[in-house]
Amino acid sequence: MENILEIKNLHTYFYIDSKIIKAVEGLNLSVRKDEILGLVGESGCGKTVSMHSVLRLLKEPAKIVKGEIIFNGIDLLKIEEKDMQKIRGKEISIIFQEPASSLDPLFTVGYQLEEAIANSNKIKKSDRRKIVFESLKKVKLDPKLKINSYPFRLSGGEIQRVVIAMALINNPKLIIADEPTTSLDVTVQAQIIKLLKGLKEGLRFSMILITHNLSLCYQLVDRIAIMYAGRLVELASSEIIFKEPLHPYTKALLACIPDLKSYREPLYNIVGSVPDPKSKPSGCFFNPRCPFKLDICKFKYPDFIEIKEGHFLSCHLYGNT
Amino acid sequence: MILKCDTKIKRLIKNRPAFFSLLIISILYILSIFAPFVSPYDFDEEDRSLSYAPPTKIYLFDGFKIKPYFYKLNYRFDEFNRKIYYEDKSKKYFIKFFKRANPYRILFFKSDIHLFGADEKIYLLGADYRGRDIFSRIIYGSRVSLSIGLIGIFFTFFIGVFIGAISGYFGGFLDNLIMRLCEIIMVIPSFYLLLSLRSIFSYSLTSIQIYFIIVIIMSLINWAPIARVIRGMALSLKEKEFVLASKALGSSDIKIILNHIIPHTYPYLITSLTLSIPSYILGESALSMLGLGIQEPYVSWGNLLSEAMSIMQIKFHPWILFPGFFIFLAVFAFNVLGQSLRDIFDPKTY
Repeated sequence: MENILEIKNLHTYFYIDSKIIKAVEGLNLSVRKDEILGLVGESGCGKTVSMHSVLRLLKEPAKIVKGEIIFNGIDLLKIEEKDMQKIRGKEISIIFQEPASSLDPLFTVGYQLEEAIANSNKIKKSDRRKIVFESLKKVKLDPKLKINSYPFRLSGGEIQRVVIAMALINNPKLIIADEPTTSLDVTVQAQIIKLLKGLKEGLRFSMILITHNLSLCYQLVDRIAIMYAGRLVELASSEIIFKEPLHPYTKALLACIPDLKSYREPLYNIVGSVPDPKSKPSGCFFNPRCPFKLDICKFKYPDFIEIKEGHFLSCHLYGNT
Repeated sequence: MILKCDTKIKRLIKNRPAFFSLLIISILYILSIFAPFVSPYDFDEEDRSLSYAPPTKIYLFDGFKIKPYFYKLNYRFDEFNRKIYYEDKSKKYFIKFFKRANPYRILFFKSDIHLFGADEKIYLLGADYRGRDIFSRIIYGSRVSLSIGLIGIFFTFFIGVFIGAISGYFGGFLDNLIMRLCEIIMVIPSFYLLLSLRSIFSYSLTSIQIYFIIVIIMSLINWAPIARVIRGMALSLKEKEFVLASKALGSSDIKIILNHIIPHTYPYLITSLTLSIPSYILGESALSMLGLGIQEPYVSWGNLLSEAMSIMQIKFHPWILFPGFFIFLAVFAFNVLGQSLRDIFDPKTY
């Protein structure tokens, strides 16, 4: 299948007080046309930074050191800022972590949606209003009631819908959803997931779903990429990831999903925490926390190779050298 | 902010000091707009025989009817050859409202009806050395003094807000450069700067040219502190998620500054605008009083006060200080309004 986005060997570093923080270190990822890719990992493993790198939204002191980000045959890291502005919102759009703060509190929802259209198209004001109406309908909000309301008058779920409408309004080819459900409660989460699923069927777009919630991926995602300390450790279809995960980290993440049957039993947790990006361990980054570690794990980072068709892995346990 | 406008206006009206200062300001501006109608005489209409005539004493009741009248002033000379005015009680002169006198034009309306007048000269607030009516001159003078504040802050804030927002948003070397420039301007005492900048321009200019030169000079001095504050706000606003979101939707930097940075500074701007109008009124007054601003025969409050620079004149003709009272009134009202607006827009007072 055709790839819409290819990230090759991406390195994004933060330069703080003459120290280098390697947030993303050699990320390789491709997104196919019309698929939903789940990007899963713990907090601080570089999911958001790598996706902001794709849109070139990073500010000082973050810097993309090397790599290629090829979108529709264009390397996004090589084009001018002006051309990048034409891609943002129109070709690739992003749904931010906290929907409530990604809307300007001073303006009505309708005004901000119109602004999003006006950025990339020259459309008459009356027509823009129509498009805004349609887009609010698409996310199952009543346009008549909501178009003139201010963000603080909406509930969390409603704001999330508005933000999704905003991301979809210019019919982008790729949507990056950065933890779209973290700030919502479970019932609203389910509604949003249902909405995204429905939208996906109606419109043709690819989506990268950033999350640390594997159960979310279970319902929505075609392929899952597991990220750890700035690199991918496993990439496979969601079926494989859930049924036969190989990497110890993936297994641990799956074990962390609480099970209602195991009532009042202690929850599983992965010992330790994500390594400090300032001082990553030598060898495999996961080795201090890995229950199955080998001697080689301390010295050499395992290569990221395809061990079965469509199943990529980087672990010494399965013959990576 | 935009949404809550009605509640803000309600709060403004409920706030007594704010309401009264707003009332005073509105009255002053209405008087200045309708100056030719309100004032009985032109600003340069003189009667040298009545130089330094005292304020006319007005009698409200004629018999039992409210019918204001006054007596004509006559004068004799005392032993020091000074004019001593006394009322000539032989004939009553009634004040006529909506009297026809000198023709004038307000914008496109031509008329010759004045609010009040009489068959003899009436000096509500006395006369100056050339026998010109101080009341009429104050009303005409308010046109310069009050409008210079509004036009001045418009230019100042235009410069200050844009430079500040650009400086804060882009940061880096540009920010450093602009902020150092601001500090240099702020370090120089402003009145000294005002005088030295005024000296750059030619001394013999028409009053309109001088008016705009004063506005430009004041804007060049006053934009710096505003730019600094706006820069600070831009610095914190640009880190907000909605700015990033707007960028992710393809907005250009200029669009972000105009649509999402500057609107968030409005509450500060409204307060600060109101509080800085007095400095323009005072600045113009100071320049004009020193003879560097608006020149005779045109009037502004400051140049009216220049006549009151000698103690002797004030001692014998205290009414020439009236323009000062109007300066005080306007400055006071703007300050009170500004303070109240600050309270109203302060989110902590919700």
